[in-house]
Amino acid sequence: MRWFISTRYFFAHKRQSLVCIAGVAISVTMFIAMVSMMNGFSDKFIIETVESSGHVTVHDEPRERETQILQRLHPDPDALLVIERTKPRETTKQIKNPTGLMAQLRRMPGVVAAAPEVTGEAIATYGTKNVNMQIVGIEPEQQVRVTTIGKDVIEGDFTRLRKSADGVVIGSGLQKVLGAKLDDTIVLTSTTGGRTNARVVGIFETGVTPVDYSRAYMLINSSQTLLDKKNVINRIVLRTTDYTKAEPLAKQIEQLCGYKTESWQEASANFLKIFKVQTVITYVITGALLIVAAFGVLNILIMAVLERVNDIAILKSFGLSRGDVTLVYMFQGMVIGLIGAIAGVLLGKLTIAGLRRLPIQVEGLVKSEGLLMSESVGLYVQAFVSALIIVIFAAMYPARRAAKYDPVEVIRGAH
Amino acid sequence: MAARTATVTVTAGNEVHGRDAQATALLRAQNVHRVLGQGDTANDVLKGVSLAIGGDEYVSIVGASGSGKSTLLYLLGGLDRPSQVGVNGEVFDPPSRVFIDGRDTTGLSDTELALVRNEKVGFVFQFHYLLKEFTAAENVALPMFKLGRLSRGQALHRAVALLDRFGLADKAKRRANRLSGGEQQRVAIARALANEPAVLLADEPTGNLDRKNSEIVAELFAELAAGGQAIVIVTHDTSLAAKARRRITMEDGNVIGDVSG
Repeated sequence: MRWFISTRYFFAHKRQSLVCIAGVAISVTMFIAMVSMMNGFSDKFIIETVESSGHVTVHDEPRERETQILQRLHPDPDALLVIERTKPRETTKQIKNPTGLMAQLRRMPGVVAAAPEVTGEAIATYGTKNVNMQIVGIEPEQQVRVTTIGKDVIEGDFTRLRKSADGVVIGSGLQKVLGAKLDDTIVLTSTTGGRTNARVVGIFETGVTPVDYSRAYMLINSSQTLLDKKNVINRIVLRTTDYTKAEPLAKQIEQLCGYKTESWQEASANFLKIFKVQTVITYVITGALLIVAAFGVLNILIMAVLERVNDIAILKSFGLSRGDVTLVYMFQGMVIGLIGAIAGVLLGKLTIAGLRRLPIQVEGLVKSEGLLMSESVGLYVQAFVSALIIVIFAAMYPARRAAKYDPVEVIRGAH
Repeated sequence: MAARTATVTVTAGNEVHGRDAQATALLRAQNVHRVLGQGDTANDVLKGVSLAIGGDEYVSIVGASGSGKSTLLYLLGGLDRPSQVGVNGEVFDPPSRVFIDGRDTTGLSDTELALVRNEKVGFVFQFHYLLKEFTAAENVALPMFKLGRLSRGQALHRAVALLDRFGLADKAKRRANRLSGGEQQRVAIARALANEPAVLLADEPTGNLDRKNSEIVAELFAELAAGGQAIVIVTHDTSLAAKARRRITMEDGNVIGDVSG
C-alpha cells in the first residue's frame, strides 16, 4: 500500500522526478568513470612495475645501519656522546654465497623463481648526449623467469645479450633521449671509472615511465667489469605465486637471510602514496557530486510533502501511522534513487566503453594508447550502493517531517 | 499492549446518557479535556466532557463555532488525544479518557491508535480530501489496502460495489480531481465505510456542498443509520442535525444539551 502510494506520487511529479533521477544518474556515472580511470592507471602502473621489476628483491645490506660501539655501550638517548670524524668502512657490498641463498629461496613455498642481479650507476654517452642510467647486470635466461622484461622488448632481442659480449638492452625512454638506434654503439662510463663500448641489442618498453627512462640491462659479467664489482651479486630478484602476498614473504626472507628484503609495495611506496592521495581526492569529488544530487532529492521531496499536507492528514485519518507516512516518502525517494542509480550504472558502463575508444596518447607515470579504464563488479556495486544510501539519507528529513504533521491541525487549518 | 477496560462507573459533573448506553458504549468520553496551544496562548477547548454513544446511534453534535464540537469528534475517533493536564497544570479527576469500543486509547502507541482508526472508525470531513492522483475506486480501496484483510483485487471490487451503492459506479475509474464536489463527498463517505467501521464520524459533511448535494448526503446518512450504522455528525446544518435521533448541543467546551427522539 505504501509502495502503491509512493509510486503514484512519483508519477504525479514526473518532470521534477526525472530531473532528480538525471542528477543521481549523472553523479553515479561520474563516480564510475572517474574511479575507473583512476584505478585503470594505478592498476597498470602496479602491474607493470611488479612484472618488470620483480615481486620481491633481496638487497646486499642489512636494514638497520650499524650503531657505533660507543652508542651500543651507552644506549641512553639523553647521554652526551660526541663521536667525530667517523668514516664508514670501505667494503664492497655484496650478497655472500648468492648461489646457495638462491637455491634456498627457490625451495621456499610461494617462490616461483629467483635471479641474481648486479646493479650500479653509469653514464651513457652517444654523440653529444649524456644520460644517467641504472645498469642492471643479469643472466638473461633467469631474468625472464622472474620478470616480464623479455616480453617488453619492442626492438631487437633479449637473447642477443648472450651473443654479443658488450650488448645492452635499454629502455625506450633512454633510447629516445640518447637518439641511439638498434645496433648503434654507445659509451658507458661507470661511477667507479669503468668504461666500455656497448652495442644496443634491444629496446624495451614496460609502459612505466620511470623504468623506461632509467634502466639498461647487460650481461652480469660485463656489468661486473664495468661497475668494478668483480664476482659481486648485490640483488636477488624473486617471482612469487601471488604478488599481493609479497609483503609477508619479504619479511620472512629478511628474517631468514638477514639482508634487507623489499616487496614491490615497499619499493614503490612513494607512488602508492600518490595513488592513495589521488584516490581520496577522487572519492571526495565524486562524493560531493552525489551529495549535490541528494540535495535535489531532498528538495523535491520537501516540495512533495508541502504540497500534500492534506493528503497526509487524510491518510492518517483512515489509519496510516507515522511510520507508514515516513515510509511513503522514503519509498518515493528510493524510487528516484533506484532508477537514478540503475541508469547511472548503465551510463557509467557506456562511458567507460566510450572513453576506452578515445584515441588519446597518454604518457605520464605510465604510457599507453588510449585511456586505461578499470572495470569491476565491485566498482558498480560501490557506486550503486553509495548513491542509494545517500539518497535514502536525503529522503529521511522530508519523510520524517511529513510524518510529524498533526492531522487535526491540518484539518482545522483548512476551515 | 494492554487494553485497559473501563472500571470507572460514575463520572462526575457531566450528564451521561443512560447507564445502558455506557455499558455497551461504542464511544465513551470520560471527563475529556483538550487544551490547545501552550503557555499564555493555552486555550481550554473542551472542559470535561463525558458522554457515551452506543453501537447503533445516529447522533448529531451542534453548537456555535469554537464550541469544541469538532475537537470532540476528532477525540472520539482517535485522531487526536485528550489533554491530561489543564491550563494551570492541574491533573483531571477522574482522568481525561476516550474509550473506543471499550478500549482505553490513552496508552496506545501512534501505530496502535492508527490501527484503531483504520479498523473501527470512518472519517468524513468538510473538504472532501480525496487523494487526487488516485481514482475514485482506489481512494475507497486505500483503507482496505492498509487493513490488509482483502487482496488488492477484492478490495477494489468492494470499492466499486460501495461506489455503486452511492450511484457512482460509472465514476469508479475516474481520477478524484475530475469529480464534482458532491461526487467527491460521496466517494469520501464510501471510503469512510470501506472497512465496515463501527462508527462513521462526519465533520460538517455538507458544509461545502450546494443544497441539492447536501440533501443527497443527508439522505445517505439517514439510510445508513436505518441500516444500523452508528453515525456521529458535527454540523451547522439544522435540517441535517434534525434527522439524527439524538442531538447533542455544545457551548464553550461543555455539553449543554443532549436530547433523544
